Amino acid sequence: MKRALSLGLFVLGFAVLAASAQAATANFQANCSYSGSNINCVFDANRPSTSPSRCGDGSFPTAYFWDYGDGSSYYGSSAFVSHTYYAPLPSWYEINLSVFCTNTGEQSVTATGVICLTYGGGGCIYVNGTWN
Amino acid sequence: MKSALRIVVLSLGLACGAAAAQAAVTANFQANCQWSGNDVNCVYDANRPAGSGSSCSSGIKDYFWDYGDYNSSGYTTSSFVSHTYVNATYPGYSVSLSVFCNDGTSTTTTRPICIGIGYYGCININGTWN
Repeated sequence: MKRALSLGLFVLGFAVLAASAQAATANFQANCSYSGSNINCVFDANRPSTSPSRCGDGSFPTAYFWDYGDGSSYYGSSAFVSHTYYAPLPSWYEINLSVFCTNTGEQSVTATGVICLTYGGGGCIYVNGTWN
Repeated sequence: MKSALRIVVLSLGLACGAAAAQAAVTANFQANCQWSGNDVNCVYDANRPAGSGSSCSSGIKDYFWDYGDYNSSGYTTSSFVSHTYVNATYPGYSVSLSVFCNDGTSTTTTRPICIGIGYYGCININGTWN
């Protein structure tokens, strides 16, 4: 009986450890503007203020991997990055952010955002239950 | 001199006529899309937006809706159609409406649906944090 209990505790401890290895969260917001036929964006992993990218212990991530979705990416310590998308532009770009916490060994799940580009005058359609 | 003037006036008139003929067909539409579980249900209306919906000066013969997920309406007289994107995935789908007129002219308008999954959603290009 004792042995079964300690085995149970061991399994439980292992599960908690495994869970904490995924506890870092990745979030970001973007601020994008048209500049002629190109698009200038800044991305901030410390936004939104209510749920910024953080390690499980509340500390700042030590590294960020920004995938800009146009074949280029950035890996480094910057939570704030800028990027220009050059024409010709497709319908969408998919931006992915992963954060890493080397002190705790954590890696976040990836946060994904989609930039919807307007072309042909009609504009983007958003899934929001309204006519648009 | 007089005949030269006449030619100028005549070609000006022709140019105006050609411009008017080009503008005589318009394809416009709006969409109303909602999540339903993992699916996205959309209705499309070729008579929107109000006052600037699809039109042909010779009258509309039919429409062709391409939903962007390898499905289409085929040629139809329906200006209002619905479509479900089963297990909708980001980044989205390109929706095209082609309008065919009685006089044989036609035009196409394409718009992307932006599909954002979960919290992050779609990023608008509007100079604000979002």
